[in-house]
Parts: sequence; structure tokens; C-alpha cells
Amino acid sequence: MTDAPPATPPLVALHDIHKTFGAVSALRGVSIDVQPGETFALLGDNAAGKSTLMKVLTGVYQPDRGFIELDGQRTEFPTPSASRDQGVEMVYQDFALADNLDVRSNIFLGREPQKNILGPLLKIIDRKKMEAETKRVLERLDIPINPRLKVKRLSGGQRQAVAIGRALAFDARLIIMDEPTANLSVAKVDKLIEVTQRLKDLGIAVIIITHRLDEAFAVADRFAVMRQGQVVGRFRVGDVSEAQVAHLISHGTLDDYVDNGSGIPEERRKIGSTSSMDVVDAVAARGSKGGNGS
Amino acid sequence: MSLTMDNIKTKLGPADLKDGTAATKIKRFIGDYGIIVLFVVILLVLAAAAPNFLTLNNIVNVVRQSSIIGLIALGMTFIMITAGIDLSVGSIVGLAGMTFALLAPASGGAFWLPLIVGLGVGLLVGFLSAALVVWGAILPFLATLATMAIARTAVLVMTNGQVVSGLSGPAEWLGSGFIGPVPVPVIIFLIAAIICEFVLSRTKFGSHVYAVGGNEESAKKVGISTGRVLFAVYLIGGVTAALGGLVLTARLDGAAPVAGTGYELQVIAAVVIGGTSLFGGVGTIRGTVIGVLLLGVVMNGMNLLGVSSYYQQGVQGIILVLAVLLNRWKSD
Amino acid sequence: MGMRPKIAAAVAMLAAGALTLTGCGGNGSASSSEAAGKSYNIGVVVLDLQDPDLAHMTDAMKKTADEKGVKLNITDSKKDVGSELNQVEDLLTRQVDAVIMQPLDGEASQNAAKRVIAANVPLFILSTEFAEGADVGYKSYIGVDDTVAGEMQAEYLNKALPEGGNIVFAAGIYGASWTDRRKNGFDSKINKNFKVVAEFQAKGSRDDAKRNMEDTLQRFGAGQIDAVVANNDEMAIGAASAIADAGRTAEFKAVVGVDGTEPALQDIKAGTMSATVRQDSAGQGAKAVEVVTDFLKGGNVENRYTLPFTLITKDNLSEFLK
Repeated sequence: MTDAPPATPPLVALHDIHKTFGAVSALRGVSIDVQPGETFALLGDNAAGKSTLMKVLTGVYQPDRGFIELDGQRTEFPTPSASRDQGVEMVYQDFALADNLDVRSNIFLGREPQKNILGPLLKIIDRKKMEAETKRVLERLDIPINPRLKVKRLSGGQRQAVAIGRALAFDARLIIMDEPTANLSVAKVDKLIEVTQRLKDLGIAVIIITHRLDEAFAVADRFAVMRQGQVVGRFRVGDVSEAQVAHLISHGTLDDYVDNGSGIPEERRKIGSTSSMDVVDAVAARGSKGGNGS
Repeated sequence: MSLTMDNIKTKLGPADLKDGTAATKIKRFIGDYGIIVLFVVILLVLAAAAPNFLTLNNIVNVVRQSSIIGLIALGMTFIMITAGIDLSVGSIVGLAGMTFALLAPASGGAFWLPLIVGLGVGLLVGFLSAALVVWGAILPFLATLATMAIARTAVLVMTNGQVVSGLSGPAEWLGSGFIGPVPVPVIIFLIAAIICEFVLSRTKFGSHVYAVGGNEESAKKVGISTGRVLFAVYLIGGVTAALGGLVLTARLDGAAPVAGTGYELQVIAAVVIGGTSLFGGVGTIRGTVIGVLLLGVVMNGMNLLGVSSYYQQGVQGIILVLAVLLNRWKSD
Repeated sequence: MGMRPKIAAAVAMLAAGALTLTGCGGNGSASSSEAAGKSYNIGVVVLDLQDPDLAHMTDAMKKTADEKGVKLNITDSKKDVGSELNQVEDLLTRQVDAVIMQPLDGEASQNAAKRVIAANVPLFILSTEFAEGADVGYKSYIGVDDTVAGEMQAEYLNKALPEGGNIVFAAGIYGASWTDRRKNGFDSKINKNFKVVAEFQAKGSRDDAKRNMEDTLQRFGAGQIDAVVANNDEMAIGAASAIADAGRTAEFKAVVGVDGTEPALQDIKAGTMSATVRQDSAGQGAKAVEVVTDFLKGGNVENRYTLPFTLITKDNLSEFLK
């Protein structure tokens, strides 16, 4: 139940991260690492510590103990923008879009490119550049959307594309996706597979935070299971069954796991619309590289 | 800002296809241009009904009258785009105007000094509102209801409730002077409107104002300092209201402790007529200028036609309702 | 615990009331036997002793009191309802024989007035009337009737323009008693050869009056308007300012206000306004002391004494300019 130590230095590694809020220990010595171009899933129940861990990685929280390595070099993310400057981008569960603004403004929200007019003191937004970049980024994702459309008129999938495009526009090396299907009206895993595959092709690493097994199994190369502020297991997809992971999520150990064919707790089976057979198919489809995007 | 047919057609996503019906297009056209159409219709009707309406004299008159409400409405547009509101602007008009009136006669040659102090007073009230909204996390409606009362009290205390009358020459020029054929208040309003339009539509800050009004949480998540944006808009609101107060005082050659009472409602009405949403995220300075002029023209027209004061407020109300209904069909 | 201060206050009030009662009774019996020799003590609460106009009024009151041989305790409320009540209570504690009160507000000051009534001290109201229907049992109101102000504006115009003319009327706030009374007074006395060609509501403000007058000037050309009548001076000043800005001052034979404020007097001096009518504060004060003294000496007093306004024009301006 351990994953093989990777040969190349990880893109990002979190070492022994501790974080306490008052009397609550949210993180109790968590270590994970993500390889360049890898898709990594962080599984666990609510309050397992997934979000807190990602907030440490994106500079929202500072760890009480432990440290972060980037390309094998120890680093610090004192602010969210410090983290973004290093190519770590977050795609929020709600996509963090402003409905009243158009696509290009959302992609560049908070980081609008500017140009000087009448000297260096007077700067205006460079909308031409925004538009060109937006087109370029959405083309890379192969999800063309008119850059001047208001976001309120987009579908759920298009909105997600804008949110991911926002990360791509700033040369992300690692994109963290928080519950990526939670805000899609049609919770289709295949869309997510398509997108993560595209990111992988672009050489961008992805961390997916999720409590959905089907999602993790469908898109991830490796995943870690978190429970009560600790990592209780690290796996390569294919090394374990969904049933085993489900048991791990709710019990924190596989020691008492009995494979009786109905190991998936009832509530977990209900979560995803895809059956485990579908997932296997999906993984297979992805494995055959390029595929038809299922 | 509105979409041309061309770029709607390019790369249609599934969400765009639904909006192509003729009925939707007509609705959207009315939503986008209805106020301008309404404005033109009103102009035509008044030009036909009131012989003195379309004279140069009267046009100058209307724009000059509108410039004070207009100045205040500029700042209010920023605030309302962030989904806020500022009820204190009328009191700021009174307070800044009174400060100016008290200092102006004593200032001698340094006529700019009372102007600076007056604007500073507006900034101060704006700062107080912003502090309550941002640091105190109090709803803008309540926060500015409080600053409205505080600022008005300050005016009354300053003067013991008395009218202050008689300013110095340069101060009067601010209200009654002309540069060429254009009244000074109109020039001040125009310059301020151009600056505000530029800031709101062209700068990073302007874009963040829309973002905060559209989705404050999202704006925070992408790293926009929403507190700073909110602070800025209330400060802008304070300054433009104070500027309105200075021009009003100059125009009336004096300040009354009740000056500006009720202005907040006129200003909010003008801004809403101009297409700004009370829920934030939507609005333009261009729209506000049209809203202000529309209201000003209607009031002027009714006076020219000899419509009784009894009906005038009612007509304003009807226009407000019309505008809100039209804005419902806006395309964005 | 919460009850105790209340009880204490009630006891104190009862005690004060009892003292005042006995004081009053004493006076009552005394007035019949030793009428002329008795010195009365009258408590006065005015709005603000710093106000020059009110200072003028209290001077007149003191003068009348000296003549009548009564003593005045003059205090002011500094335009605050709380201190108004305090001043009234202090006067009651000092066992004054009567209270003259210039209420701060037709509504909010009723409390203080009722305190006086409850203490059985005769109450006289000066210059500001209580709201209509107020259940306050004062002996007399001494002040002005706004109707008279309107009548005097009309009489001034009748005299200044015997040939009549066209009037623009700047009304205050429709429905407010000062506006309605002044307007009714004007309508009842103005000659038939005058015509109100335009009327606007300017809410008593210079701002609204100027804006409306600007529009009205656009509507009427030279020679189409002869006079402006405003329900108060601020509106008259606003209208006059619009007229002056348009360079049409010479066309207007009269611009008339009410109140006699300092800026209005300056406008009369400058020739942009022609007349205003002013309350005679000194006259009101003197009359109040006179009425109260009569009452205390056992005379009959009327429920209402209204005093005339004073017309101020360029001719008598010097008497009023500071």
C-alpha cells in the first residue's frame, strides 16, 4: 500500500505539514508530493483536511510546522500571490467568477494586463491583449468561447473552462481543482477526464480535491487518502479497488477490510452516477492515449 | 460594451444559441437603448409643447441645474456598482457647502483653501462610511444612514441652525461664472464625468469595482483587495458629493443647514434611471449622465409647461418605474 | 433595583409639586389681600439667549417686567429638548408663579409643558404654537399668526403696484401650517388686478426656489412677470438670485419674502429684493410679560394674542440692519 518513490524530483512536495486552529488540529503531519505533469487526487471526507492542506499550498494559510519544496528547493508561500507567482493556481469549487463580467475580464480578474498612456503614471487595461490571450488559452483547452460573452450566459462546463483558462493564462505548472464537478449541472466525469488529459498534454500537473471515488479513479495517476488531518494511504490508480479506498476513507485503515463484494458503503455508491465498471472503461479509454475523449 | 452581432456569431456556444429569437433581440435592444429612446422622445415632446424649451438659453440652464445632482451621481455610480449605496451624500452636500460658506469670506485671496477643506470634509464622511462598511461589516444602507445623520448633525452644530450667506467673488464664480458660453458648474461636471468614465471603464481599479459588485467572494479569491476597493468608492462618493456641495453653495451664494436634504433620493433615482443596478455589478457613467439629464429635462419641461408642483414628483416616480422596467431587458 | 430610582424620582416630583402647590396657594390668597405690594416671580424659557433676535426679545421682556414690577427668571433651552425640560423643572423647583415658554418644537416640547401644568403653575406659550390638537392646557398663546404675514405681503403689493400685475408665487411646503396660513392670508388680501401666472413648491429652500425660478424665467419673457412672492425669505433670495443671474432684476417691481432674515435684509439693501415682513420679537416678549402679570394680578386673559408683523422695505431698512 505504498507508492513507488518517483525517480525525478517532484514538482511540489509538502513535508510534515501541521496546522492548528485553536484546539482543532486540522493537519497533523501531512506529506504529499506531485510529479511534473501528473494528475494527483486528494481524497477524503469533509473535514479530512484536504482544503486546509491546499490553502497551505496556495499561501492562504501558513503551516505551524513543516515546509514546502518546489522543484526540490525549499520555498515559502507567504501570500496567495506568492504561490501564484510560482505557477501554483487554484480553480475553486464555485470557479470564483464574476457573472457580470465578460470571459476575458474573468480570465484576467485581479491580474489585468496594463499599458501606459500619456506616460508611465497613467495606466489602462490592455483589453486587446486580454482578448488575444483569452482566445489562445481557450484554444489550448480546445473549448472556444467568445471572449466578450458575459460569464452569466455560459454553461457550467464553459464556466469551468474559464476558471481553468484563468490558471493557464499565467503559465501554471500546477493547477489545484477543488471538487471540480460539484458545480456542474451535469456531473459528467468524462468532461473532467477530457480536461485533465488536455492539461496533462500541456505538461501541467493537477491536484484534484474530491470526495468522489469515481472522479479520482477516472482521472488521477496517483492519489492520497486523507482522514482526520493525516494521510492514511497513498496509491497508484489500479493498485487498489474503489471498495478498499472507500473503507479507508471512513475507517482510516485497511487492516479490518474484508472483501465481500459489497465493501462499498451504501452512501458512497450513491454519490457517483457512474458505476465502477464505467470507471474502469473510462480509465481504459484514457489509457489508450488520445482516445475519443469518451 | 454591448455585443455586436458579429462576435455573437463567432464561435457560438450552446448558451448563446438560445438567445437568437427575434423577440429576444427586440427586448435586448429596448433594454440597451430604451432609456436613450425615452430621452429623445421626451426631448421631442417638450420641444413641440414648450416653445422655449429648445433655446440655447434653456439648454444651458438645464445642464447647469443638473450639474450638481450630476456630480453627486458620479460617485454614487461607483458605490452602487459595488452593490452598495450612500445615503449620506445629501448631508455631505450640506456639510461641505457649509464649511465652504463659513471659511470663504475669511479666506481672502486664498479662495482655494476653503474648497480644499470642503472636499476634505467630504472625504472624511466618506471614510467614516467606508470604515463602517468595511471594518464594521455594517450594511451600506445602515452605515450611511448613520453617517447621513452624523454629518447633518455636524452642519447644525456648526452654525446653530443658521443660514450663512454672502461669499467672496471667486467663490461665486464657481457657481455663476462662465467660461465662454459654458457655465462653470457644467465644466466641472463634464471634467469630473470624463475622469470617472475613464477610471471606471479603462482602469484596473474600475474593473475591480465591477468585480466586487458582481461577486465579492470571487473577487477576494482571485486576490483583489475588496476592502480597498470599497474604501475607494466611498471616498470617491464623499468627494463628488462634497464637490456638489461646494458648487451648490457657490451657486446660491450661501449655505443653509438643511441644504442637500433629500438629494440622496434624487441622485439614486438618476443613477438607477441611467441603468445601474441596485444589486451591483452593472452600470456606467455614460448611463448616469443620461439619467441625470433626463430627470433634469423633465423637471425643467414641467416648469416650462406650468405643470403644478403637485404632479412633478409623481412624474419623476413614473419615469423611475419605466427605467427600471426597461433595464430589466438589458443584454448583459 | 430598577424600581428604586423611579420611586425616588416620583417622590421628588411629588414633593416639588406639593411645594409649588402651597407656593401657588399662598400667592393666590395674597393677591386678593395685598394685591399691589406682592412681587411676582415669572420663569421664562426661551430658545437661545445667544441669538441676537431673542436677546432683543428678552431685553424687551426685562424692560416690561421692570415697569410692571415683576421679577423674571430668564433661562434658555439652547435649542435642546432635554435641557428645555431641565430648565422647566428647575424653574418649578424655584417656585415661580408662572412660566413663559418658547417651545422648541410643536411636538417634542409638550412634555416640558405638561410638567408645568402638572405642577399647577400657569403656563404661557410664546411665539411657537403647539401642534394642532395638542392636549396642553396653557393659559395663553402670545405670538404671531402666519396668516397676517401673507396679508401684509398682499397689502404691500397692492400699495406698490396699484395697477396690478403678474405674480410668480414660491410656495413653501404644501400642507405645512406656515405655508398654508401665509398663502391663505396672501390670497385673501391681494387685489383682483393681480394674477398668479406661475406657482411652484420650493420647500422653503433657496436651492429649490432658484432652480424653479430659472425655469420660470425661461418660460416668461421680459415684461411678462412683475413680482415674486415667496412664503419665506430663503425662497425669495433664491428667486432673486436667479433673476439677477439672468440679468433681469430691472424687470421686477417687487420680490417679497417673510421672516426678515439678515441675508434678506442684505438683498433689500442691494435692491434684488424689495420687501419682507418680520415677526416683532421684542413686541411679543413685552406682550407676554404684560399678559402674565395681568393674569397673576387676577385679570382675565384671552386664549390667544397675535401680534402684527413689521414690514421692512428700503425705507425703514436701517432700523433692522445690524
